[in-house]
Amino acid sequence: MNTAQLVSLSIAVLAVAVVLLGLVIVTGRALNRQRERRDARLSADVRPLLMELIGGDGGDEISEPLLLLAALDERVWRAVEPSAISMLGKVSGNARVALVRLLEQRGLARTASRDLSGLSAVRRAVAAHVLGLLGHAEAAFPLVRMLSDRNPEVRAAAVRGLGQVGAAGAAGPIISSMTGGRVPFQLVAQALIRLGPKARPALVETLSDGDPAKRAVAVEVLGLTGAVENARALVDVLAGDSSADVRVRAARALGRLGTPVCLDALIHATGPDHPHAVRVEAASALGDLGSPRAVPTLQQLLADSHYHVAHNAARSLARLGKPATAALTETVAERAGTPAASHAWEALAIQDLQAGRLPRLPAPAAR
Amino acid sequence: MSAAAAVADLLAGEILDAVRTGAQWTLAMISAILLVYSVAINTSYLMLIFLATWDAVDSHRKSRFFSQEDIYANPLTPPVSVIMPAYNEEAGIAEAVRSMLSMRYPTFEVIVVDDGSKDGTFERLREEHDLVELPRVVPDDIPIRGTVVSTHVPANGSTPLLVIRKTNSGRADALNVGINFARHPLVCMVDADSLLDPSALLLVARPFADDPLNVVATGGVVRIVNDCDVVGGRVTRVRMPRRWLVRIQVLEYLRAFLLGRTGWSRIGGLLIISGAFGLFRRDVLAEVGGLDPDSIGEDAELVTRLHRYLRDAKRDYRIVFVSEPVSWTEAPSSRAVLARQRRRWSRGLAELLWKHRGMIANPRYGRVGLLTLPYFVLFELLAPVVNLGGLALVPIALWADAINVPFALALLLASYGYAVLVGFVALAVEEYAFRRYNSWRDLGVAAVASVAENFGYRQFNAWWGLQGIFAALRRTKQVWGVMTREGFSTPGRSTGGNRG
Repeated sequence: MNTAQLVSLSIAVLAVAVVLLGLVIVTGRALNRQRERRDARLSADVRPLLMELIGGDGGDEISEPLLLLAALDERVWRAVEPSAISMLGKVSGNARVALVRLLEQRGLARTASRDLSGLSAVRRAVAAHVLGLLGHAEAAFPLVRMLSDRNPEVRAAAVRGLGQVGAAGAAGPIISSMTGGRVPFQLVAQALIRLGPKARPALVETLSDGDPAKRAVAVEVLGLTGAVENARALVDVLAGDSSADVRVRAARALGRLGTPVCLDALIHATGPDHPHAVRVEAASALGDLGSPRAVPTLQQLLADSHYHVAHNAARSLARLGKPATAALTETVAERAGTPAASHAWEALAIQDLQAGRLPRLPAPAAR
Repeated sequence: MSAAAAVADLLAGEILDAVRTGAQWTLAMISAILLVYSVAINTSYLMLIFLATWDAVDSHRKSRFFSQEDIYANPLTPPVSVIMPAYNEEAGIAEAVRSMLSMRYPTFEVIVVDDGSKDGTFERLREEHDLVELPRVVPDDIPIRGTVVSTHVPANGSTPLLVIRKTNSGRADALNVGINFARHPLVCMVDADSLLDPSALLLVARPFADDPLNVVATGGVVRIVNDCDVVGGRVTRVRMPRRWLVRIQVLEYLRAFLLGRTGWSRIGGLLIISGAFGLFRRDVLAEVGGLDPDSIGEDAELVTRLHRYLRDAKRDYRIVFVSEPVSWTEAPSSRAVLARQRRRWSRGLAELLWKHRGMIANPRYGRVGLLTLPYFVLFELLAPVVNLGGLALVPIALWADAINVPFALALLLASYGYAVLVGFVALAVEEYAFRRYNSWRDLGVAAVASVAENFGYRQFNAWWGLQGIFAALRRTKQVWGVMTREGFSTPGRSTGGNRG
C-alpha cells in the first residue's frame, strides 16, 4: 500500500468512526430519554403509595400500601426502586421501619447479599450500599469481606455500610482498610462516628499506628464522639506525634472534649516550642473549650508575632465571656498602638456586631 | 546566443533544478515531520481522552451510591475561604457575592478583595450587605505589593463576608492579600465574574475530605455561560451560545476541561488549575509564597511551582482535577477580545515554561517533569508554530512541485478528520456522564462546531498563539487587557453590562 492509499484509508476510517460515534451519541440520548419518560410514567402512579407508606404511624395504616407495593409488577417496581432506596437514607423512625419491611418483602436484602459476590463492581457496590441502608447486623461479616474488594467504590460502599449496620467488631477492619489510601478518609471517619463508643478501643490502639492517616482519623473520631476517658491518650498525641497534621487534629479534638487535662495540654501547646500550625489550632481550640482559665494565656498570645496565633487568640477570647472581654478591653487600653491592641479591638468589635451594636471604639494603629 | 551565454543558461537551469530538488527533498522531510506531529498530537488527545473517559465512567457510577450528603453532613469536611478578587466589577459583583454566599457547604467565608476599582464595585457591596468598617491587623504570611486601605464586614455580624479594599496591584497580588486574610484551611480562588453551581464547593472539596493528608490542590470544570439563563446568580438553563465564535469555544472548553485536565489528573500530571475555580491548602500556598504577581499565567505557574516545591521537599502530595463541579464564565464573543485572551494564554505558557525550564524532562519531577512539561512544550507551546509553519509551506511546496495538490488536501482532511473525531469523543463523554446540553439542536450545533473549528478558528488561534510567544520573547510589558462582557442572560430581563 502506498502513502496515498494509506491516507485515503485513514480518511475513510476516520469518517466511519465519526459517523459511528455520532450515532452512538444520538441513539444513547434517545434511549435514555425514552427510559426516563417510561420510569417517570410508571413511578408517578406508585409514588403516592410510597408516600402513604412512609407517612403512616407504623401500625395497620401501612398494611395496605405495603401490600400493594410488595405486589407490584417487576417492571413497575424497577422504576420506583431507586426512589425507595434513596428515601431509606433520609427517613427515620416508623417511616424507616416501613420502608425496610417493604424492601425486605421485595427481596432486596437477599438480592444484595447474592450480588456481593457478583462480577460487576457496580452491582457489588450497590449491594453493599443497600445492605448498609437496611442496617441488618448479619450483613456485617460480608461487608467486612468487601473491605478488601479490588474496586475502590465497592470498598467505600462497604465502609459506609458497616457504619450504618453498627457492628461492634467492625472498627478494627474499617481502620485497617485505610492502608495505602484504599478507602476515603471521610467515609472511614463517618462510619467510626456512627459506631460510637464501641469503636473506642480500636481507635485508641490506632493512636500508635505507623500510618499518620489512621492516627488522624482516630484522633478526630475520639474528639467528635466525646471520648473524655481517652483525653490523656490524645494529650500524648498532641505532645509528641511525629506528624504536625495529626497534632493539629489532636488540638482540635481536645478543644471538643473540654476536660481540665485538655485545657492544660492546650495551654502548653500554644508555647513557642510547638510547630506554628499546632499553636494556631491550640489558640482556637481554647475558645472551643470555653474555660476562663485560658484567658491569661490567650491574652499573652495577643502579642504573638505570628498573625494567625494572635488572631485566633483574640477570637477565642471573644467567646469566653466577661473575664475575657475585660482582658480584651484592658489590652486595648494599655497596649494602644500595638498589634496586640489591634487584635483585641477587632475581637471586641466583632462581639459588638454580633450583639447588634456598631463597633464601640475607633481602631488603633494597625501595626 | 554566444557559447558563454548558453553555458550560463545551462548553469542557471541546473542550479534552479538543484534548488528545486533540494527544496523538494526538504519539503518532503518537513511534510513527514508535520504528518507525524499531527498524528502524535491527536493521538495524545485520544490517550488523554481515554484516561478521562475512565474517570467520567467512575464518577457516573459513584453517583449511584454516593451523594453530596456524605460530604455535606460530615463533620470533618474542611472549612473553606472563598477568595474573589474584583476590579471594576460594579455590574455583576452583587449577584456574584450573593450567589457565593448561598453556596451549599457546611462552613465557609467569602473574601472579596477590591483591587483598587475605579467604579462603584465597593459601593454596590456596601449597599447590598450593609457593610461597616472593621479595621484589622494586616497579615503578612505572603509578601504583598499593594496596600490594604480598609476592611469591612456586614453589620449583622453573622454573614461570613469580608471585603478588603486595597490599592491596585493586579489579580495575583489581590489573591495573595485574600490568602493572607483567609481564616480557613482551604482557600478557593474564583473570579468575580464567575458563577458556581450550588454544589460546586462540595464536589471540589471532596478529594480533600477523602485524602486530607496528601491532597494540596483541586480544580473544577469551567464552562461557558454565554446565552445560558441565569436567575439569582444561578445558571438555570444551559444552552449553546448564539454566535459560532463562542460555540466553538464551548467545544474547546469541553475538550480541555472534561478530557485534557481530567486525563492529566488521572496520571498525576495536572499542570493547570483554572484561576476561575481552584481550591488549595492555605498552609501550602503560604509556604510557596502565594501567586507570582509577575506572571501573566499565574494560575498555571502556581500549580507548577507547587509541583516543584513539593517534589523538591520529597513530600507525598496529590493535585486533583474533579470533572463534575462547575464554574460558569463568560467567554469572549468578539474576535478582538478572543485574540487578546489567546495571546495572553500563549505568552503565559511560554513564560511559565521558561521559568521552570529546569523541570522539563527532569526525572526528579516525576510525571510532571517527564511527561506533562515536555508535552506542553511540544503540543501546546509549539503547536501554533507548527500549524502556521505547515500552512506557510504550502505555496513553496506548490512552486517546487513538491506536493501533489489532491494528496495535500487529502492529508489535510485526514488531519482535520482526526481532530473532529477527538471533538466527537468529547461530546460522547459529555452526553454519557454530564448531559448539560439538553436540546437536540444544541447537540447538532456542537457537532457542527467541532467540524467548523478546523476552518479558520484553528488557524487564527495559532496566529494569536504565535504573537503571544513573540511577546514573551521580546519581553514587552504585560497587559491583561479589558474583557468586554455582555453580562448574564436572565429570562425576561437583561442583567450585567460591560464589565471591565
